[in-house]
This record gives sequence, C-alpha cells and structure tokens, in this order.
Amino acid sequence: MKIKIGRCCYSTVSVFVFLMISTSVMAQQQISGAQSGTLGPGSYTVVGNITVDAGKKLTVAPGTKFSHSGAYSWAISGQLSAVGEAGKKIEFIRSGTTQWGGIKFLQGSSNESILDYCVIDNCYSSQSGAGISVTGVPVTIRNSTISNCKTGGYGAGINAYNSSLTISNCIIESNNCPANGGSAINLDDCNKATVQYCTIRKNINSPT
Amino acid sequence: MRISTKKSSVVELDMIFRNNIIYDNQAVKNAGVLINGVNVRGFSNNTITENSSELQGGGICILINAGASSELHGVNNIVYNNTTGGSNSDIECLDGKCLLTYSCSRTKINGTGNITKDPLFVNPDNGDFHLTKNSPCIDTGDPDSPKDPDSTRADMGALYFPQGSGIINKGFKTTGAIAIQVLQGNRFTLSVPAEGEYGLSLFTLDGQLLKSHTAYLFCGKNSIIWNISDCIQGVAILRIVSGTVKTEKTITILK
Repeated sequence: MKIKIGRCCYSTVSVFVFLMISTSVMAQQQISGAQSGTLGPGSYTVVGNITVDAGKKLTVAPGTKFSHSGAYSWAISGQLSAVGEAGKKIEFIRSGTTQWGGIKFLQGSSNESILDYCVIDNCYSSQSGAGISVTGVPVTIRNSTISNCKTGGYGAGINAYNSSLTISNCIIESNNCPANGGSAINLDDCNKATVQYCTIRKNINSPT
Repeated sequence: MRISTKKSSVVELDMIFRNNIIYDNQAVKNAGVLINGVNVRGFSNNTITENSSELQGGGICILINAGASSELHGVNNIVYNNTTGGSNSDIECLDGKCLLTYSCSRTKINGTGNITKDPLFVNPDNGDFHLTKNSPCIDTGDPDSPKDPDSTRADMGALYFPQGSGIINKGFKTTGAIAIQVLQGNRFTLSVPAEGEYGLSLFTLDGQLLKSHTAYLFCGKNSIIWNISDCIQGVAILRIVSGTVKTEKTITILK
C-alpha cells in the first residue's frame, strides 16, 4: 500500500515537473528580425538582431523580459513603446556572458519612442552608444536603469547625436568608456535635452 | 556626462538639467560634467560630489575644443568634494565661462550667492546626499527660484531639506492608508494625480520627522527609491507635498 502511494506520488510529481518544463519552454520564446504589434508579457530569448521598421510600431507589455543570447542589437527606424510599471519592469538583459548590442534609435523615425520602467543592462558596442543610441530623433527615457554598458566610442550608457532627448528619474551606473568620455550620457550636437531627477554614479571615463 | 558639439558656430543648447545627483564617477579626464563648446542654461539644483579624475575636471569642466563659446549658466548647485590633478577639483573653467550663482563649492567661484562651506550631507559615504538641518545650503538658493515643496526659499542641491518638521502634535489630517513593503533596494509604489516634483516626509504618529525625500513623479503609479529600511516597522505618517497641495496618509511599514 505504501509503495503504491509512493509510485502514485512519484507519477504525480513527474507530470507536474513535465508541465513546469513545458510551461517554461513555452514562456521562453525565441525572437529575432522585424517586429511590430505587441510583445509580452512573458520572457523572450533574443537569438538575432531585432528591427522595428519605418512606419511600424512595436509595443512591449509591462513585465516582459528580453534575454539576449549573443551580441544582438535593436535598430528602431519606426517607433518603440516599452512602458513598464513599477512592479512590472521591462528587462533588456543578456542571457549568458556575452554582452548584447543595445537599442539604437535611428534617424528617420516618424514618432517619438519611449522607454519607461525599463532595465537596460550589460551592453557593448564598439561605436558610441552601447546601452541606448539616439540619432536625429526624439526619445523619452523615464524611470529606467541603464547599467554595466561599455563602448569603444562615447556614451556607454546613453549616446545622443542631433536629437531631442528627455531623461527623467533614471539611474545610470557602472558604465564604461575606456577610450573616450561621457560614460553615463553623451550629448553631441543636441539642441534640446532634458536630464532631471537622475542618479549618475560609478561610471568610468577615459580621455575625451 | 558630456555635452559637446562639433559645430564651429555658437551652439545654444535648450537644456533643462536639474535635480540630478552625480557622484562617485571616475575618469582620466572629466569625471562629473563636461561642457565642451556649447552654451548651457537651466543647470539648476544638481548635486555633484565625490567624482574623481586624474588630470582635469573632477566635478565640472568647461572648455572649447569645437564651438565658438562655452558657457554654463545655472543656480542652486552643490559641486563639492570632487578631486582632480587639475587646477580646481570642483569647477574647472579652462575656456569659456562658468556663470553659476547661489551655488556651493569647496573653492570660491565668482557669482552672487556662491558659498564655500561644507554642505553637510546626511551620509555621503553611503550615497545619502540629503541635507542635515545645519547645512549652509538650506534656504540659500536663488531667492527668485521657485520655492521648495515646503514653501520655503529654495535650497541648494538636488534634495531639499523639509522644514517645519519635528514639532510634536502636528494635527495630521490623514486621507487614506497605504502599506509600504520595504523590499528590493527600498522601492515602493505611489500613485499621484499629476506629474511634478513631490516632497515626501515620513513622521512618527507624534510628529517626529523620520526621513524626507524629493522625487519627480509622473501621473499614475510610480516606483520610488527611498531608503526607509532603517525606519521602525509599524504605523507612520507619510506627508506628500507638491506646490501648495499637501496630502497626509497613514502608512504601515512592513519588512
């Protein structure tokens, strides 16, 4: 009788574990390439570069996590709206030891993109702007953390060129520009910018 | 933080740079803020401290590599206790003009209302740059600046010191109750009806001020980072002030 109960429990546990694994696999969808519409909530493994093409809009739901399995980046020619919530942040992180390539807002985007309650962590770019790079477009970044990013150019955390940028209530920390300056934020030829209520700490620069 | 241009003409930057805390950054050159060939206005109420560079620009550096001029205009900043191998550890003006007023630095800079006294932060070694009650930066900001959330003259620095506190029996009029769970880096959520600067003060039930904090909040739910982990678990009063609007709530601190 005890053996039967034991086997019964074992089978039940096996089914439960199987269901758990299945759920886990289903939750870790793999994505790459052109995206639009809505992603999340849930967890995604990024297995290639992501684009949001001109004229398209990608909305990311609160609580979504993007784990990058390699040095992949996001190129936004359209519009990105990643608006999380206080308890449901949107995470852009690496999944292994390789740093991912960050989010690049490219010239020509027709509408303002926004990152709110986001985590951008562990990016690398040989060019300026490892975590977030903004060129010629308006972008708002609020309530977000940009950390542990490294660049061979300027602006390891955030780099903006000829753009209109609003950064509010963000923590920008532990970013590294070993060859240049502006490790936390670099603004080049930006005629309009707001940086307010931010904490900028533990970033490392070399000569500018 | 680097603000720069490659243009050879005068570049007027339409910039708001306010209420930022910039600390413990390191560099060979320009650890805190570099203004390079641009004219920056609206530089107010920032706390820039404990940044360290080997050669130049510990706190703020102003120079011209490109651009026709380089000027920094602003009020109510604390730029104090930065280090460098250059000529001035806090504010180093190599080219261009430093036009800060009503600001605090270790070495005197020209300008109305500038002071050179220790700002007396609460606990700078642990990243707490609130002002203590004897700080010379309290009520010494530009008198023409908007008043602090407690309706007193502007303080210097990113975090104002709330006054009129510590009085027994304050006659709190609470309008609701919320629970604050001290978790994960001392974050908690707070919903507000409109975007703006909010002063938060935490009191015991008999009116003793426990902690204060300033935050820029957006309409709706906000995640606030505020270290209240050293406050006693239990019931307290949270005062929320924005402009002339004041709300007090009974809160329960959970650990």
